[in-house]
Amino acid sequence: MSEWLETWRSPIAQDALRVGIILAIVGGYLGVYVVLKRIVFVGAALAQVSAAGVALALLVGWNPLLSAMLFALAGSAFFAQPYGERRISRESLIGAVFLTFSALTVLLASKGAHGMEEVQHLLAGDILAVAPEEVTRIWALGLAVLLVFVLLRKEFLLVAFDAETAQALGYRTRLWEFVFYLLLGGFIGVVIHLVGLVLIFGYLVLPALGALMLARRIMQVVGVAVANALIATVAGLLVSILFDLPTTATVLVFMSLLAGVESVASMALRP
Amino acid sequence: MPEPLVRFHQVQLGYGRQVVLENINLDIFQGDLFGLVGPNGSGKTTLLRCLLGILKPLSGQVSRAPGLRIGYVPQREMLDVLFPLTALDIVLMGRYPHAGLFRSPRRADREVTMQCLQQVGLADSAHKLYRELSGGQRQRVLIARALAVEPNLLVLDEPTNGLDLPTEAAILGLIERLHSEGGLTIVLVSHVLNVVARYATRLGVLLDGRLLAGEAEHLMQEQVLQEVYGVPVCVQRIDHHYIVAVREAAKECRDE
Repeated sequence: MSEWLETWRSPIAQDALRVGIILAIVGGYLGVYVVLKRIVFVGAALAQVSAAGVALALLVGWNPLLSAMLFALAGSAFFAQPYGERRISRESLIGAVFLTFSALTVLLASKGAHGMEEVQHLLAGDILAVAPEEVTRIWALGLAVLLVFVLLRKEFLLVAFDAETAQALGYRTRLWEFVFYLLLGGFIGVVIHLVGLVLIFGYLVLPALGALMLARRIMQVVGVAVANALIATVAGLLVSILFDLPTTATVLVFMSLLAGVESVASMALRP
Repeated sequence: MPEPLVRFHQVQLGYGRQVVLENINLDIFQGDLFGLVGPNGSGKTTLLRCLLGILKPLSGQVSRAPGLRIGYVPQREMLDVLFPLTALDIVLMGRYPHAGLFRSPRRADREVTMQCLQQVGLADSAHKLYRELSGGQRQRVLIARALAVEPNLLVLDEPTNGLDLPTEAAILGLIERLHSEGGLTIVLVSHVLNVVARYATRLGVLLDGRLLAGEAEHLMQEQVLQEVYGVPVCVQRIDHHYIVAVREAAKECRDE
């Protein structure tokens, strides 16, 4: 037990906890909008585009963070474009982007110094492997994204819920969509090379699902989603250290468990 | 002759190189209850988007009176009920431009919101979730949101779509009250001629990329409508409201 406590108190675990907390807060909040806007797979595709940026940076010796950000921002600009009646659905396009950049990531990483090990890291990540100097950077960028999102929440809500009326009220919806995707892509780009695609995707989807089942007002949903993400992060880290389990998978299991419990509870509580 | 609130002059509308409507000349005056009708795909949405300022004309001029504020009521089906929003949350959206960037709506905005909900008869349902309301109640919420803008022009897109007969009558009654008692200028868009013909003082009929606009009593003539729709029609007036039916169907109705 004391050995476990020692591990928990170690700088590595404490840094992972700090990173997990900001990921939970920002990911939980943004995730509510990602789920409500029905763009869950855009989140996955953006994460994959960022991963390809990291793989390219590692191959040619660029800064991985900068490359991931640039790729994520380019992806954000692409997905922010209005998609009207076309010959293929938006879902197909998202799928195509996801598959193309998945393949690109594998190809680029296979020629890098670490080969497929790097691909594995980009996918599953390891929050326990985050360098101490990265923690402050993630917090600073995470808080910046959160601040902008909180300040502009009513505009994001209106544009997400009823873009046509927003336009009639004078809002430039294409610009607002771009800003939204910029924040989402920026957040993903910052953390992808540190914690991996799967964990980011998890934060953007699972905490919001349970929250939407359980809570009835939009701000309550945001509160429950952030709480879900925080609980799953702390519990997942604790359990993974205690039983020597992979951290990402353990955190995700806790997120899924919470979503499942809240779904059952909402059905039981429904009049 | 008073200045119109909105004037379309020789307007051509479309998307890219595709022209949807051309040679559109239309004036909407203060106090009008203008009904815009046309079959599906006739360009109603295109004209509506231009009226709202969302779509720029390919050519021609659209001029708006200074200080024009448009309250827009979109089609209910366009809104996603996944969003956990109450009637109050949605009506409050009409006050967002008043609140400004980075600011939450103030107490005064909330008071206006409640007044608008009262005006449409939904004050008791302010805290109910939009998705838990009936079709007619949802329509009232959207009308209340448009009123929260404090508009001088109210534009409604297919407000009676998918409603049963009594609810349709109640919504049309509300629209007529807003026009006659509230003095609001209204543009009512529908693909059902009977819906707009009952209340509109002026009509616009879209067909084959053209707009035929004029006083309701001039357009609601059997000969005119027959020419527009290409089928023999029967026009009757009951309680000062126009009722239009395709002639064969009308005959069968009378025979029964």
